[in-house]
Amino acid sequence: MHGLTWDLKNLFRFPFPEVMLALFTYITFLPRGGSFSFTVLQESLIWEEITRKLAFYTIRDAAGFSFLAYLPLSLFASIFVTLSFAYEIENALMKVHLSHPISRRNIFLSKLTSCFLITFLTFSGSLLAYSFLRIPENFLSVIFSLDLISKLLLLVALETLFITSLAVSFSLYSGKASVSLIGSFATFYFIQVLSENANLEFLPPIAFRNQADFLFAFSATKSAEVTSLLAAPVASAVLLLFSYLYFSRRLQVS
Amino acid sequence: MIIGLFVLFANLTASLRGSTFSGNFTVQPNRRHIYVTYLSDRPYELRVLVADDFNGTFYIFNYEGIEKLTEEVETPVLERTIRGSQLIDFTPSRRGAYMIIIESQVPITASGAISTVEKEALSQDIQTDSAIIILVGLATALIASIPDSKRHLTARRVLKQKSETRPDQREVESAPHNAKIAFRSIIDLCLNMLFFEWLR
Repeated sequence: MHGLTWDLKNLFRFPFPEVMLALFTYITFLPRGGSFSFTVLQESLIWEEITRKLAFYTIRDAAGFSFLAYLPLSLFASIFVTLSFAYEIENALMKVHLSHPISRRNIFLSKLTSCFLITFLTFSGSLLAYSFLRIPENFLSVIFSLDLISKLLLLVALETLFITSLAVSFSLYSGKASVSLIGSFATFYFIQVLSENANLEFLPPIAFRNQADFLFAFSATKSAEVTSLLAAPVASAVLLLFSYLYFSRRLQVS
Repeated sequence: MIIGLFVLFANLTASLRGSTFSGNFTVQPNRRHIYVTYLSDRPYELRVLVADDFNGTFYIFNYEGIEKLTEEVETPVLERTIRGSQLIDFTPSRRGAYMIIIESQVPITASGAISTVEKEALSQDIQTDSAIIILVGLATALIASIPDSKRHLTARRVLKQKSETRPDQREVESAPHNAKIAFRSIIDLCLNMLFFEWLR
């Protein structure tokens, strides 16, 4: 816990979280043409049903921004992870951490959690602000739609986890701040280009859009699609496991 | 405060865009076609395209109106008799959900389309809301910085009383100082964004 607080303070030295929040708010609140509309049957004019549907469409619109936010999120996550891991390895600050009577597991977890929390909280904060401010009169329905909010948070968590885990792997294996920052962001960009041009739906950011469609779908999804949806979370878990093993057993800080 | 500020900027920099969206509908004889849509606080032109022999009524209900309608009390914000295709101008007083109803008064099933043309204008309500959020954020930040400022002032008073201040002692970094730096960086960012918008 102490390590986490220290790492959060370390990352908050720079105004990046504020800039992130500003950027995500700007992206989500840009007015865009077209919006949701749904038909209601004359016989089923029930107020609770209408407010629930409005909450559903509002949160589904917010979930759609997971696709747009991929590159800004990747850029900021790369900066945080580089500051937290590669920069400290390069400047021998990690050596100071490791000299303390704290296990490597705790150091790794506190650094990972601080990077994850900052990106997760800023992104989910702007999406929730969008959901509440879209139809101000309906914000109580949005608050009480806990299942929809948890789906939105799950989507943001999955996206943040993928981005953080890939950046952490890059940062640890490179061990140099410049290589980590440029390399991880270039990898994120390359993944996006590959995903969009080669139409590889299991790769982000298309995978995040599919996850949003799956979580806010009207009909059941085919099992083949579910497999492709799980590719990014599984890759995140594998990357994190390897990063943890490398950090706890192999990392040599000179 | 940041959220409020950037909601405002998002609307100031990109609110001068008009757009169109449309949908088809089928209405049974002497029945109603009902749909709910989201409208911003700006002028709209609603284009109802139906057969020339169509005869009916067009209603728009706001959020409160929808609630009353479910209790079978009709309080539309707009009611218009339509005979054939028509253009209807409508400016919502506030952004939000609006229910559009087309009531058929002909004995046959009618089909048609509704296009919603959003005209270029600034959304005033979202600017008011963002101003409120900024004020609430500012007040919260000020209230939160009071204990720090008090501590800072007490420390300075104690130092003055004891006359222990060394000539080379640096100014203690306080919450207002950090807030000033954060505010300056936000202003810089806003100016950059405005510049990019202008370039685009």
